Amino acid sequence: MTRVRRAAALLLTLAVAAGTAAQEPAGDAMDAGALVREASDLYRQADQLETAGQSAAAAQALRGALLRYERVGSATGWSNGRLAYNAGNTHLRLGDVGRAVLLYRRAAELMPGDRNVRQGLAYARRLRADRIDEPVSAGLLRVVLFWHYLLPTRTRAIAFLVLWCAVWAGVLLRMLAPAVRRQSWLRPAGAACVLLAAALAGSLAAELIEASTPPGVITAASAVARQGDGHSYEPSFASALHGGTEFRLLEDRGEWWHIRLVDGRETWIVAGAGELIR
Amino acid sequence: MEFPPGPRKRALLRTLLVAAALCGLSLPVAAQSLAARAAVSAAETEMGVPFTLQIAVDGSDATPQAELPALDGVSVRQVSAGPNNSESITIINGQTTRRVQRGYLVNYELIASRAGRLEIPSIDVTVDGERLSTQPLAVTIFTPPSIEEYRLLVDAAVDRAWVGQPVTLTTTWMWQEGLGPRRLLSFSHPVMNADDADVVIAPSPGEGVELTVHGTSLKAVQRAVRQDGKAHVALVFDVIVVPREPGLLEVPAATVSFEGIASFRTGRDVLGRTVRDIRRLVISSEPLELTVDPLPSAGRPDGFSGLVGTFEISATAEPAAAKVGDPITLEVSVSGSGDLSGLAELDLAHLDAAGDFRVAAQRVERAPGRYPSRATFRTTVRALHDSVGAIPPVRLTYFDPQRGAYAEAASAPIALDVQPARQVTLRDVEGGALAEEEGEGLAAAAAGIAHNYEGEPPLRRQRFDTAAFVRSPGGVLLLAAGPLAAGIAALWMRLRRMAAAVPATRGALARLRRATADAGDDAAAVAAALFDYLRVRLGTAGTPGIDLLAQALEGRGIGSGHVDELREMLERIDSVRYGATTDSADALGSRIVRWAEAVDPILARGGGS
Repeated sequence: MTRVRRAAALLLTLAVAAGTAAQEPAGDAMDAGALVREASDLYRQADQLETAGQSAAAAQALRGALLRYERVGSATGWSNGRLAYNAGNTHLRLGDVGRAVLLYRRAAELMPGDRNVRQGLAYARRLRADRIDEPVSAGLLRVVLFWHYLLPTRTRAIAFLVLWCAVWAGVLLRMLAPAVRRQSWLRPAGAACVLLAAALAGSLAAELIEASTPPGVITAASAVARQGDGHSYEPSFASALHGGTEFRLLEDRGEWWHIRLVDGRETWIVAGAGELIR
Repeated sequence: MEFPPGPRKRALLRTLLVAAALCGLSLPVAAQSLAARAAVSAAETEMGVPFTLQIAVDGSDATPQAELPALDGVSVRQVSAGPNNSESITIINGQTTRRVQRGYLVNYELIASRAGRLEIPSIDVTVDGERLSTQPLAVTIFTPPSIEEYRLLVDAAVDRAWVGQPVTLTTTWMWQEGLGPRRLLSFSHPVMNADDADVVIAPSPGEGVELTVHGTSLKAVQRAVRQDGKAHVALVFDVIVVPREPGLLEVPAATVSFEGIASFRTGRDVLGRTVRDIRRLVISSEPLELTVDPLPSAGRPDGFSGLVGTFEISATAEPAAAKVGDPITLEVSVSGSGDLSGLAELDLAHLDAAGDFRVAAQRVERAPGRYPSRATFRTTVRALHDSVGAIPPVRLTYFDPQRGAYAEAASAPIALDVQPARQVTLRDVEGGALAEEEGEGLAAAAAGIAHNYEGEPPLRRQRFDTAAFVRSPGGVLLLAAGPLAAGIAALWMRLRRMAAAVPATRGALARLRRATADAGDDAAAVAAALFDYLRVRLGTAGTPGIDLLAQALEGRGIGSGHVDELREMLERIDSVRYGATTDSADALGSRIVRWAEAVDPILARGGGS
C-alpha cells in the first residue's frame, strides 16, 4: 500500500511539473539572481542613506534597485510573488502609488495569503487619491468564498487533483475490493471528496472565466476617464482618475481601454494610463 | 494594338489625351521657382491708421519662417496666414498645359505711431530649408490732423512695479460735449502685444459701449468728466498688465482713428437741413514707461507660492466630528488682488508630514477670467488617530508689492472631534486589517510597509496557468487516469463474469453424463447431478419443487411431454432413495441423460421468455 501511495505522489508531482514546465520562460537564472542581489543591496543602502538624512541619494539607490527588480520581473513575466512584492515596496517608497498597487496586486495573485503582501497592498490602497468603494456584495462573496481568494491557483489546482484522484481511487476500490465496499466510512468520505473537488473545480473555472476581463491598475499620476474612446468625449467623472485605481479591462481598442471600476461603473481611459496585472 | 477606324478612333484618342491631362502624365507642367515677395496695402498713410504688410512665398505651400525685423514706432500683429495654391489646365490646338501654382501668404497689420518715412527692410524667409529674401519697401506716414476737442489718455496706476504685479492701465477717450465720434475706424493699443508682459482686459463693471481695440472686443464705460473747465464725454476702459521680466516696460502710444464732428460750426444745405463738419480724425496718447523690479531674493521663503499681490486665506472642514479614517472635506478659499491662475495647489504637506492626516489630491475652482483673483481648493483629509484635535492652519506665502516684502497668509486652525474607529468590517472578517491592539497595550502600526524578501533570489516560478495545465499531456493524463482506470476495471469485471458463466453452461450436459456415471447406484448422487444440470441451464438455485421446474422449462420452450417425463423421473428417484421401489438408480441415471440430451439443444439456444 505504501508503494502505491509513493507511486501516486510521484505521478502527481510529475504531472504538475509537466503542466507547468511548458510555461517556464527561458532566462538566465544566474544573471537574474545577481541582479536581484544587487537590488537588495541597493535597497539596504537606501535605508542607510535615508537614516543619514541623504534623501536624494536614498531615492537614487531606490531607483537603482527598482531598475533591477523591473528588469528581472519583466524578463520572467512577474512569475514570482516575492519579487513583485519587493518591487511594490520600492515603488511605494519612491512615492509611485499606482505602480505600487500594481506590483502588490501581482504579488497577491501569486501569494494571496502572504501577510506582508496584504499589508503593503492595504497601505498602498489607503494612499490612493481616489476612493471608489466596491459593493457590499463583492465583500460578502469574498468572505463566503474565502478559499477562492486566499489560496493560490497552484494550491487549489493541486488540491483539486489530489481529491480527483482520491475520488477515482475510491471508485476503483469499491469495484475491485468487496471488503472495502462494506466499510461504512467510505460513502460519506467519498461524498465529501466529490463536493470539495467540485468546489475547487468551480473556483478554477471561475478564474478562467474571469481571465476574459483581466484586472488592471491606473499607473499614470492622473488620467481623465471619458465616456467614449476619444478625447472628444466628455469626461465620465468630475475629476480625473489617479494612480492606484483598480479596474477590469472590458475591451481593448488599441489606444483606448474600456474599463469597469470596482464599484461597477464603466468608462474609457487612454491605454497607456494603466497596466494589466497579468 | 489596333484602333477602330474612323470617328471612333479619334474619339478614343481624345478621351485618352484628356485623361492623361487630368492625371498629369507626360504633359508639360509649367515650372515654378521658389521666391518670396513683400507688399503693403498703402504706400502712404497716417499715424494710427492700420495697413497691411503681406509676405507671399511662390513655389511652395509649406509654412514659411519669416523673421520680421523690429520696426521702430510701429505696432505689428499677424492677422492671417495660409496656403495660396491654384491649378489650371489649358488646351489650345490640342496642346495641353497643366499649370500648378503653389504659394503661401502671411498678412500682418501694421500701425505706425510716428510720422515720417517708414523703411521696411528686406525680410528673411525660410521655406523648405531654403533661405529667401523679400525686396525692401517704404511707406510714408503723415501726421494726422489734430484736434484739441478730442483727447486720448493712457494712465498707469503706478510707474514702478514688481515682476508679476498686476498694473492697471486706464485708457480714456474723451471729447468735448456736443461733439463726438460717428464711426470708429481703428483703435490701436500696442501694449496689448507686449512680449515682456501678460496683458488682459479688465472686466467691465457693468453695461458699456462696445469697442474693438487692437482686434479685441471690449466694453468701455461712458462717463461725464470735466477737463480744463469744460464738460466732456469719456469712454474709459482698463487693461491689466502683468510684467514678466525686470527692466523697463514700454507702453507705446495708443491711437484711435475715427470719423467725428470736428467743430461746433453748423450750416444748412440748399434744402435747409442742418449740416455738421464731419471729418476723419486720428488722435494718440503719450507713450509711458514702467520700471519693473525683480522680486528680491533676500527673505524669500522656502515654500514661496510665486503669487504677487495681497491675499487672504480661510478654511472650513465638514464634518467637524468624525471617526479615525473617515473622510473630512477641507475647503480652503484664497482671494486677493493678484493673479491666482498659476497657483495649482496649496502646500498641505505639513498635514501629511506630521502623521496626523492623510490628504487626498486637491481640486481647484477658480473665479472666471484669465486672471482670477479668487480660488477655492477642496480636498479630503482623514485623521489617522484619535488624538488629532484640529486641522492646523493652512499657510500661503506671497510677495506683497505694497510693502515690497514677502508675507504669509494663514487660515485659522479648525477644531476637530476625532473618535476612535473600531468597527468590524469586511476586511476584519477577511483578516486583512491590521490589528490595532496586540499584547499588553502594544499598538500595531496603522501605516507603512513590511520588510523586503531576501535570502535566495526570489526567482522560483509561482504562476500556475490552469488552462495550459489542462491542455498539457501531464494534465490530460492526470485528469483522465481515474475515469479511464474505473472504466477499464468495470469492463474487466464484466468480461470475467461472462467468462465464468459461459463454460458452466457449455459443459452442463457433459458434467451430467459424468456425474450420473460416477453416481452408479447412488440415487441421491443421481438426483444431485440432475439438479446441478437444471441449475446451470435454468439458473435456479437449490432444489426447487417440480412445479417451479415445470414452469421454468415451459418458459424456455420445453414441451409438456418432456416436462411430464421429468416429473415422473423425479418421483422415481424419490421412490428409489427412500426404498419404495426396487428400480435401479443406475438405469434411472441413464434415462435422465437421455432426457437431458433431448431438451439440451432447446435450453442451450436460450429459447422461451
